[in-house]
Amino acid sequence: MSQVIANALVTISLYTLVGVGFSFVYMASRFFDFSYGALVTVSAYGAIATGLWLGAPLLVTIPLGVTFSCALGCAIEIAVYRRMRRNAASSSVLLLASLGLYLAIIAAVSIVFGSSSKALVAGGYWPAIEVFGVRIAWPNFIALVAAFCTVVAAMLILHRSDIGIRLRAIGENPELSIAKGFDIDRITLLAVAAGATIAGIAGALLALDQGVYPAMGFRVLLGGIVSMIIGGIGSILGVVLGAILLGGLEHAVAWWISSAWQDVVVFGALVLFLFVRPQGFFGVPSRRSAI
Amino acid sequence: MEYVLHILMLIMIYSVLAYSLDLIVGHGGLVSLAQAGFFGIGAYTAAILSLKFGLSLPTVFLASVALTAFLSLFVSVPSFYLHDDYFVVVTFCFQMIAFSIFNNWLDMTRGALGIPGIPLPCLFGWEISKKSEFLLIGIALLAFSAFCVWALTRGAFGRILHGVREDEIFTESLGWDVRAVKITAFAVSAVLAGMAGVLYAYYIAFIDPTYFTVMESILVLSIVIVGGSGSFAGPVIGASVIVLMPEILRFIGFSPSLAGNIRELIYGLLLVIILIVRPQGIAGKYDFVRAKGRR
Repeated sequence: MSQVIANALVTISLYTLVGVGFSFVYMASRFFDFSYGALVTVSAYGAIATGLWLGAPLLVTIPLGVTFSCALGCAIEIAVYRRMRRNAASSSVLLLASLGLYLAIIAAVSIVFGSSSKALVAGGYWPAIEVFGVRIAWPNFIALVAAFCTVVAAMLILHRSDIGIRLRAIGENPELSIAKGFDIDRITLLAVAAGATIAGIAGALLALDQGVYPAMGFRVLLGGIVSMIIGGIGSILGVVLGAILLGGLEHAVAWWISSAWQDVVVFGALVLFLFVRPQGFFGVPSRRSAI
Repeated sequence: MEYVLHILMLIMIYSVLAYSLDLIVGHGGLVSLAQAGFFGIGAYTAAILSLKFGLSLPTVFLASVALTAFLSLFVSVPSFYLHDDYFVVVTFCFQMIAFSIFNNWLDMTRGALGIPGIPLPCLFGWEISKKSEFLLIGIALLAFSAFCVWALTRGAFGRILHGVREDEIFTESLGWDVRAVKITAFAVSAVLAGMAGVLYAYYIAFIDPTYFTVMESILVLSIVIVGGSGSFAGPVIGASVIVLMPEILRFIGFSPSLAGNIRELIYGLLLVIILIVRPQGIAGKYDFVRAKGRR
């Protein structure tokens, strides 16, 4: 039972990471950016690629992969979303564009690397550590620590730093922020860079845990988005709560019913949740989720 | 010649899918990611009913119509309460649930193994076995889809539907029954997608869950937007391009799986480029970006 909890903690950590990173991007751009999932995948493949071509060890390839994610995220923001925003594109249209980007990036990855899964590290299992009588593999423990640190850092940045407060302001009221002279483009780009970096870290951790395959970013992106919706958009603690509830529900269903019905229960629960409280536990209602 | 018929058949099926999605996306302005789900529901209905009960084509069509129309409520009712990207998330959940059922309800669908050996369809005693015969049914279905779109986009119904697209609250404030229009539009869209699925299952004679994933939904959405939303030529143009592209790539020398990935790459990029440069698509009438601009 405690082993189940330990496994759930890994999922929760990953969802927290992706949820927090996604929140940064969402606060600035206000639409569901599905290309974020591609950033997760790209980081892992970036690590694989640099490992293959440079023969470098993990300590080098993983940060390179994360950097690559960050760069790609910023490039997408500048080349695509910023331009579309100038054309007054609505959130649905930006979402469509993000879907196209996701499709294209994942297809490109499949073309270059093939569709089969790969391992970031050859052979064998990770050494595990024992904590309170439960075995956790090293990468999963790192995931837990990374999630915790990211949450703390995010809350500090969003509530204590000047730029974080401006980011939240942009999210709540773009027009007024522009009137106050905030540089929306620059702050959005910084938020995207931060979010993309977090996506890269999540991708690397996911790769260490499960191996690398083209669709890897999608499921964890969903988990992150759902955690953010449940917790309430704009609330980091909400993301954590959402991740705990979602990860817990997933593993509970897998444990007590069967892992086959995980998705049905989870997505069904999300739909019900969207009916009852679409703004999440700690969020504020928006026009799009009201009657 | 067989090859040409095969290509035409695929174009028929994707055109029907594109029409079905264009009805709610291009004419209704409601982006949905659930189309592959309805496509799959139709396909699995055909496969299961014909294999387990030996039912004929008209009966299978009726069953598919009933099932997809009913299930479309799970998409249309949420559209009353959730809008824009929240609504897309709901359709997305529907798609994920549908796929999960295809993949995991082993008793009915055999999960990832798929359902092989789907028997030939029987239409009032006439067994359809040749590609040309399938193509006839395909053309009939395409004509029917075009007719449905034409019928639903003219007159009062069409104006309310376009009103939903342009300014839903205003349309409702004028007293039009927006909810009834939405339920009907989503139902017709789901029914058409399901019928395309039925035909697809019979034609390919084998289906498995990987044909009905979110990626397929995104691809159909790309067809609609790239080909042109809100028009009659657009969906067919988009479908033709998307079917012909892997074939052309294969002639150049790419392997089928590589051709599939290249097609996705090109279509993903096309979708983005079209949305930036020419949002109404190649042959469409509805400028997606400007019409739904930020309020």
